[in-house]
Amino acid sequence: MEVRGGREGTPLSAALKRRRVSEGLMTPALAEGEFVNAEDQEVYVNTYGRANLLRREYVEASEAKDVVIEEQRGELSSLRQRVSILESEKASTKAKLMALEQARQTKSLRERTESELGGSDGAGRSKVGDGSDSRGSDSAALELAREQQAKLRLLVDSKISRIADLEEAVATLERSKETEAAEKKAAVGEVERLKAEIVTLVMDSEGKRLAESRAATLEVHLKEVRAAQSQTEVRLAEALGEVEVERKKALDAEKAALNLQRKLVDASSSAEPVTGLELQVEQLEKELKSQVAEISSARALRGKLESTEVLKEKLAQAVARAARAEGALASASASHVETTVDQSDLQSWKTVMGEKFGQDASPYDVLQNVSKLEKSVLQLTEECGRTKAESKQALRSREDLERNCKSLSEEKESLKEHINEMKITALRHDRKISLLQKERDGLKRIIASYDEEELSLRPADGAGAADGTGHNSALRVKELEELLQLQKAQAAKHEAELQAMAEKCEDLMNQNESHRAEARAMKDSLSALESEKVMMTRELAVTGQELNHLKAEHNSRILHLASNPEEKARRDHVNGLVAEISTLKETLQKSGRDVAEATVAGLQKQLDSLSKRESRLKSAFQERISLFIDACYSIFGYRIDMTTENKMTKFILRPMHEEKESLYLTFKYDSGAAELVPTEYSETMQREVDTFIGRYKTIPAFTANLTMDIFNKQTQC
Amino acid sequence: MAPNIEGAGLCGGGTATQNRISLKGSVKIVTEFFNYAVNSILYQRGIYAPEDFKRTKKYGLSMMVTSDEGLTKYLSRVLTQISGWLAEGKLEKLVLVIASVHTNEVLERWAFDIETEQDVVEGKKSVEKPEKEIMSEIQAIIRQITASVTFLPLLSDPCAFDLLVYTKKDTSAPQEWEDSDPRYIINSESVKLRSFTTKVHKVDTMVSYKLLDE
Repeated sequence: MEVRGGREGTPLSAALKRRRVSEGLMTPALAEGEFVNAEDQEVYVNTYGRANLLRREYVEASEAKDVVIEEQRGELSSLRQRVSILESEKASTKAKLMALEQARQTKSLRERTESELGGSDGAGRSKVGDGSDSRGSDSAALELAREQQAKLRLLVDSKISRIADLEEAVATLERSKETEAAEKKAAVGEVERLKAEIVTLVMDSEGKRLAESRAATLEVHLKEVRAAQSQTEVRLAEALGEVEVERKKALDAEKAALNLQRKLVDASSSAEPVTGLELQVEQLEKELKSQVAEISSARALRGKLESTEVLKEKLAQAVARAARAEGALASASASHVETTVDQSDLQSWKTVMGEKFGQDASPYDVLQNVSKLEKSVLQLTEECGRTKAESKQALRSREDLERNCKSLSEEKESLKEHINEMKITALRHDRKISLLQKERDGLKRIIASYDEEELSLRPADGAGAADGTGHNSALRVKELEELLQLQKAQAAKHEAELQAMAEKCEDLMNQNESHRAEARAMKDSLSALESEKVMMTRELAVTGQELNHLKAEHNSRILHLASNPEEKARRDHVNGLVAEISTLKETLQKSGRDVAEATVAGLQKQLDSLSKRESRLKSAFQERISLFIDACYSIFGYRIDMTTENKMTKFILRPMHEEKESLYLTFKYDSGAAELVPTEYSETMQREVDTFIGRYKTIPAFTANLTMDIFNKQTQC
Repeated sequence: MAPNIEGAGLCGGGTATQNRISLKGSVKIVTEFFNYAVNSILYQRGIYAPEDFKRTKKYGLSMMVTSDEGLTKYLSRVLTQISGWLAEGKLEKLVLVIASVHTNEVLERWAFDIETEQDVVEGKKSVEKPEKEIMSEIQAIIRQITASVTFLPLLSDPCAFDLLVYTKKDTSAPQEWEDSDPRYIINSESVKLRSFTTKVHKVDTMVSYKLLDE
């Protein structure tokens, strides 16, 4: 990091560095071209500078803590060594105590043996001697005990000093731990604040990705630092635990040493016999055993503690995993709920679509139907647009026609007026002509009267004056006739003009009629188009309604109670119908049976009567026919048998007088005519057959001739 | 089912606060209107025999309300659920469908469209409207329903009715409710009647009937 300000060469503390950065006096060195503008660069620099600073401070602090921890570990190891030494010393004292005990045992054995071997005196002397011997041994033991006591005192002192050191170390560790935790919290708070600033910067600036990546790396580094810190904390806790245990051990050892000391003091001060010392030794031994047991239990506890720590970590991990699994389970259950909701929606949509488009309709079919409907709607709108355009065109043409009609009617009116004027002028001319004619007639009369007057006056004057006046009147008459001719010509001209106008008027009237017919045809087509337009608008409105309905249905859900009055009414109706059907069926069955039986009985009766009648008729017919056959045979001499072959009726005639049965004639009868069928018997009378049947076309004569021939033969023979 | 606006929606004291309509009060008014409107339609159109109805006073008019127990139960079930959906702002439309029992063909369709002021439902704002104004609007609609017999075709076949409820897509319904199709009328004519509003809910009324074959 580039340092500006301050004394060059002097290392700055972390706090000072931080202050310098916040004051803007320090910026980290950056690669060129990383940022677009100076503001972003400055902001980035400040925030990341601060972050880098904090990170480095944290790293330095953690390294310092690591050093301290190492030192304390060293101290711990030394303490452990000392503890091991103490243990070895304890073992040695134990061995010594064992030796003392052995000596005591040997002494006691000797005394016993001496007492057993000697008398009371010897026992007393031996006792005194033993006492002196024992006193000597006791003094040696006492000296040993004193030496041990001194050693134990030294040991206790050293232990006390070590315990004090350990306590100091523990206190310093705790203080350092607290400061570390505080610094860590502050660092974490600053890091989080920086993170928030970084996040806001990232949102505002274009260097978002770079900031995120760098923040991610920082976070990773922070995580690593935190992990290292947690590990150090764990080690610290372990060390503290071990220190606690050692302290306890030391305290126990101190207590044991104090007890031993007290005991030794008691042993040295008092003139107790060996048994008291032995008891003390036993007690010491017990205490040693208990201490050993405690040490082993402490070791086991330490092992358990370590295992519990490990187990705690594992438990924490397992709890975290369980929490994650619960979260995943919750999300899975939420998604399952969502899927069930989606499935129910889908099912309802399927039922609606099935009711609308058929149960076998697939979504593709539904889409097709919808697209078909849309296409039909588009087609209908197109057709409606076309019909609208056509109707507009028709309206325009109708308007044009109406205008033409108006103009034609106006022309017609003007022509009528013109014709009327012409008629009026013609009448005027006629009147003029009549007036002129009248005038002419009047003038002629006047001239005639003048001529008469002149003639009446002339005989007196002579013939010359009569020629002059006659010439004038002739001239006047000529003039008047010319005038008349002119008038006539004018009248003829006017008439011709009138005629032409009348023809023109007729043509215009015809044109008017044709225009009117066209206008009527256009009106009819317009009305048809309008009716079609109305129909199309109706259809469009219906399809628009259907589309609106579809749109409304698409965004809504339509519900009704399953048990509703309509359904109930329908069910009742159906039940009523079913009941009615069943009653009708029963009545039908009953009546049907009765009716059938009655009809069967009736029919059976009819059948019996008819069969009886038939049999009677048959028998009667048989009697009559046999009677008829016999009568014919006896009257006509032929036994006639009738047969039917291939729809052809045949009659076999056997003559009376012939003896053989094989002699018979056969006639076939068809549509009123009988014809002989050739047989052997007929061939014997071919001549008669040809004569009577072939030539004369008569079978009765043939049969009569044959009868006579047979009779003659019979009588002759 | 008298509209207890004072109990449901009003705060006491002062003319301005007496006109304040709460969501609960509006729901009650609209539900009551549906009850009386449905009964009126069933009586006027002869879906049930006149002797199955009893007279009662409401909206300043003499109204006919069914005395049939089964029908009353059905209406109360439907209207209870409707009031719940109204309070949630999920109800969009109520449709009374009259169909022939024999042919199952829909002959008439009375549609009540509902527009809800979502801000009031969410509690973001409150509205005011005089009670008399609401009642007079409802009265006008009831009169129109009574007068509609003059232009509606005669229902000669025996008919039955059903109530369809249009709700939002995401509405959950109890098990006794099932989905239905809209039961539109083919070849119909529609007549729009009056509407009324409580400022929380606006109700538009329309009747569609089948055109007779000429």
